[in-house]
Amino acid sequence: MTLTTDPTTTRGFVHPALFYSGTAEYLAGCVPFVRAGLTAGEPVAIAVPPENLGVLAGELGADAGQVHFVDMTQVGRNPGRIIPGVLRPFADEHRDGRVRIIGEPIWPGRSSVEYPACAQHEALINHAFAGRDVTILCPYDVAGLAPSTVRDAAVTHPVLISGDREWASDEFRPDDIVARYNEPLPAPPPGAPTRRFDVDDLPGLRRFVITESSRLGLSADRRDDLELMVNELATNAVRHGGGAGVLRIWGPEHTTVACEVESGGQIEDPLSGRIPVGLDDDHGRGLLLINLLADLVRVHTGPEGTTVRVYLLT
Amino acid sequence: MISEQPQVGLRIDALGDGNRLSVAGTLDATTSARLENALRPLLATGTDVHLDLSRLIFADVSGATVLATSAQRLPDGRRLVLERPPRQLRRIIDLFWPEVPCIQVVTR
Repeated sequence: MTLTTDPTTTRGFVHPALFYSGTAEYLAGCVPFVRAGLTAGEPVAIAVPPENLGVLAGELGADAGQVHFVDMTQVGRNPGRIIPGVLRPFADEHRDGRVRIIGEPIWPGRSSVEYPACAQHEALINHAFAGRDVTILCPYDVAGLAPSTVRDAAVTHPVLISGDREWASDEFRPDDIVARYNEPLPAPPPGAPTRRFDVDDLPGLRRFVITESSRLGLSADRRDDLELMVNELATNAVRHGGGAGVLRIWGPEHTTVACEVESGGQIEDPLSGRIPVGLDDDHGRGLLLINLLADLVRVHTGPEGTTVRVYLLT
Repeated sequence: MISEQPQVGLRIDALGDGNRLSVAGTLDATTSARLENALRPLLATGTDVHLDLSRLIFADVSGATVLATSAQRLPDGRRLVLERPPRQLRRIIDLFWPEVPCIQVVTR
């Protein structure tokens, strides 16, 4: 019995990466993990891509009825949503004991635009659950993922598992990953509609976003969502980012519309927008709303300023 | 030209017996403090508070936060009733205050 599967000796946050190749290794790594949790009376959730949901549900048989299954390609399409919208709500609902989760946020279909946000998410899980009695096992498909992705997993996970082996990662330095992928965002296309704004121009900026996103093919509901997101980013810019900013919007590229707000100011806490907020708290929901509503969020922040880019599917 | 609905800014009017307000225009970070001030005296009256939001054009997270935190200061069992709120306000409330008993949304 190992650190990961023995519930009786485990304290605090446990965050292993499981390196697997093929279905047999996937099941061998995940199913005993689930069963050990169920035996110990722990709430168990599985948030993985749909094909792996099916494989696990089939193997678990009748035990599947005690497990909370969610499609990670839907609820975790935006990596920034996974902690505040998926993992923390499940863990926070069951605070009276250890909680066990399989979370597979990185699958071979993730694009190069999504990946930096995925790696930062894996790193930030360590902070978002520090001290909590939670175990999150993160499967990595070593046959389908880039070797660099698998190497990053050894930096974001303190424990690594492959086959029968389980060992402490000697490369575990999650803050290095947060910093490394805080990289300049790919340049917007030349001529992307652009609008400068200040505190007096928020209504005009909102109208601009509605008009442009309509022209780019967003549905009415998603236009409304984008207006809310832009309003929060612009409000942050005028309050904390030097009083003004620039908005750019373009698309559709690969069926997404992209919209970014660039301003002064730096996001100091990388967990901003990733932690659920109490019902009676009077602040802390701006970036959280963006992470919960967008299909992808990318951030580049530093002493020179901050750019937050949101992507919405058309 | 005088517009029937203000495109910018917030207009708050008392309706009837004083525990009911009309809130029209734009509820964002530049205006939400005014709504908080207007609501404060109503929270201690011991009755439900009704807001007609049918002429609210836009409400953001700061506005929704004023509504939700005000509702949570009502006496036990009392509610803040949001009548015909714009879709975006419902969206924010569903995200951050789902099924909070002191907030009632009436959509018709």
